[in-house]
Amino acid sequence: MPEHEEPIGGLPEIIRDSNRPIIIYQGAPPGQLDPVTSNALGLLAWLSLLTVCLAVIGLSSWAVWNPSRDETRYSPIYADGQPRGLANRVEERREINVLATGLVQYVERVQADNFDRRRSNERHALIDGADGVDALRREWDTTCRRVRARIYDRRIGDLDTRLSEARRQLRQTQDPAQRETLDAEIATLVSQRRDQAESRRIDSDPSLRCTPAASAPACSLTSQDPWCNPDIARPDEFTQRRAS
Amino acid sequence: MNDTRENDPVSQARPTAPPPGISWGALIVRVLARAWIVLLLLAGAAFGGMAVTQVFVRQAELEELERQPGPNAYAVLAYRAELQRQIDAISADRSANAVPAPPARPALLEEIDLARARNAAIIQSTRSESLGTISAPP
Repeated sequence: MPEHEEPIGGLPEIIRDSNRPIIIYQGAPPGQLDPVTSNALGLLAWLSLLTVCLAVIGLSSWAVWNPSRDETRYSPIYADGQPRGLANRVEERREINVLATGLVQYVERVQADNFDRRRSNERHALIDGADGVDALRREWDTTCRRVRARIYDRRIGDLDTRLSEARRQLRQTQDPAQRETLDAEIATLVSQRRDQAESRRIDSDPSLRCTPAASAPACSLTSQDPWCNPDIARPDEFTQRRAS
Repeated sequence: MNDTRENDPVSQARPTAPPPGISWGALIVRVLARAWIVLLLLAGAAFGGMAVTQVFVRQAELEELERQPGPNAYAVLAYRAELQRQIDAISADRSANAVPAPPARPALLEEIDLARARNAAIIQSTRSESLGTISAPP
């Protein structure tokens, strides 16, 4: 038997002599896609993987660097709400910590000095700094007094307008009965104006009395305000619970 | 035996050169395109990993920062911000018909106010005592 046989009819001798059924497929196996579609599917698979990677990059970067603010969430640093991006939230919290750190120790030192009946010279920037609580309380009191003065000005201004109108009518009318009515009205208005001016001078109207910010009532234990119980308002932001 | 394999018609049928109709240039373009896509995918996966890591790192950093200084000190800072907000709001509202009420004081600030009031009383009494000593007859 020769070592090398030329294929006859496309098949080597060994296969032709094997007595086994020979199945010859012509073209592609059944179900196989044509080369162009197959290549396109392969490319789609690669591109979908790449898209997943890009989506992960985009979403993660947005979660970190999102510059917008959530107006529904209170922030003691930003007036327009808490930042949404993690990087800005870290920055916000870092500022909070810088401002508020040492406050508990500060009050403990002042209390210790009080206990020893010793004059305390302790300072904390958040309390008595240039834009600390004390300065803002003074500014708040000034603002409140300004509002009070504006309300009195408006009330007295209204009375002055009505008074000048009544006087103008009095000058124009000749009817004695009407003149008498106007005289009475003017007298009432003058009296009211005097009362308002006096009330303003001695601050006698309780509804227009400014409560100093330093004398405001203390927060209740169940208050939901973030400046009263921030750990109740936003428990997710405080790993440390309030000291009772 | 080796000869048999080398001369095997099936082995001979395997393409050792570009199949007819495909040039070397086309093969190089195919290889380059595949390498490009693979590199893009690898770069995408690497940057994706870095971006996800950044998220976790920032979250851990935030959680670490939230451990201190605690809700009591935070409340005082928030009170200061609330005072500032109210001052701005009150100043902007020119038509108010009632005086505003100040925000309630947080517990720690109340403690600070009390401690400072006691300190002021101590300073006052120290002054009175020293004045009394000076003005007292020998």
